[in-house]
Amino acid sequence: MLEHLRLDRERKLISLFGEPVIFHCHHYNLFLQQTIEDPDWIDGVSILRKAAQEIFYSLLQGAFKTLGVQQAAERLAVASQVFSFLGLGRLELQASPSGGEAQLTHSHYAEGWLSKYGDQLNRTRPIDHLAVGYVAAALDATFAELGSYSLLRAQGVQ
Amino acid sequence: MGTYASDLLQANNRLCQTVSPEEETDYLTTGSSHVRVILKSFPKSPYFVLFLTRSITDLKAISERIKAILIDGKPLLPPVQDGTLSTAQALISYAKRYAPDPNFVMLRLSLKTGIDRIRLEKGTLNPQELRILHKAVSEVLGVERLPIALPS
Repeated sequence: MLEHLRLDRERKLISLFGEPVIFHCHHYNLFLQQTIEDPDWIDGVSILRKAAQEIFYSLLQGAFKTLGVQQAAERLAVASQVFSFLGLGRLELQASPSGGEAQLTHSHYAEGWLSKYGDQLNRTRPIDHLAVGYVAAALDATFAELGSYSLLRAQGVQ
Repeated sequence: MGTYASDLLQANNRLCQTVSPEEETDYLTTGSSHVRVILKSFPKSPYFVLFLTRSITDLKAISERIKAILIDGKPLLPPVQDGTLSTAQALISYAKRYAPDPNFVMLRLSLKTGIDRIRLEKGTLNPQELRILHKAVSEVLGVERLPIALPS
């Protein structure tokens, strides 16, 4: 995956499969997400999911094209690899055009939140909205077009 | 440390009064395997003294000393000033003490409630704004109940 990172030295930008990427720690990412989630007067969760879906759809389309992957199983495997490469966790995808199941066995946001706040706060609401958008984007880019898939049901683990 | 101790004493009072409503609770002992914390209130006063001892220290051996400190200290206490906080100020103060990122509490509460930060700090909110603030503080702290009740 590393060979597909492109560095634009002049503009100080890094891109992966044509999509700009930036590396941030969990402190930054959690604070940014918290700021979007906090106001009750906007639907922050939808914003986070949809933004992730749009960006990762573009990135995964670029990845599939660059790598020349056509089969659905290959595409889903690439989507999992990209997710891990970006440091977002570990994702196992099993899907067909009618939908499927994603297992997030490691999560940058969930594990980051636990390490940062787990001793002080209780939280029962889901936290990895980016992963939700990512999975939707992976299915969109594999089987259809942007906005075709969305989360049906989420289940947490203890 | 004083504000945390004060919260502990208040919680202890509330707990004891559910069992024995007429009785005023004036002490609390807590601690860890290494340290013992003794909070002792001055009777009929908002002041208290916090003692830290090693967990192995014999309480009987120091009880007379604690009593003497309370007796000797009472005349030295400053007069109680009327510093009554509004419910909004009490909620904000509580959030600042217990939120995980205390430096950002005011900004977060302002963002969550949609109420200007300066108005929040002044604490003069209408009943609806107060309800919104109460809910926001609960969410920021990740708790269902707060020890500060809304005015009925």
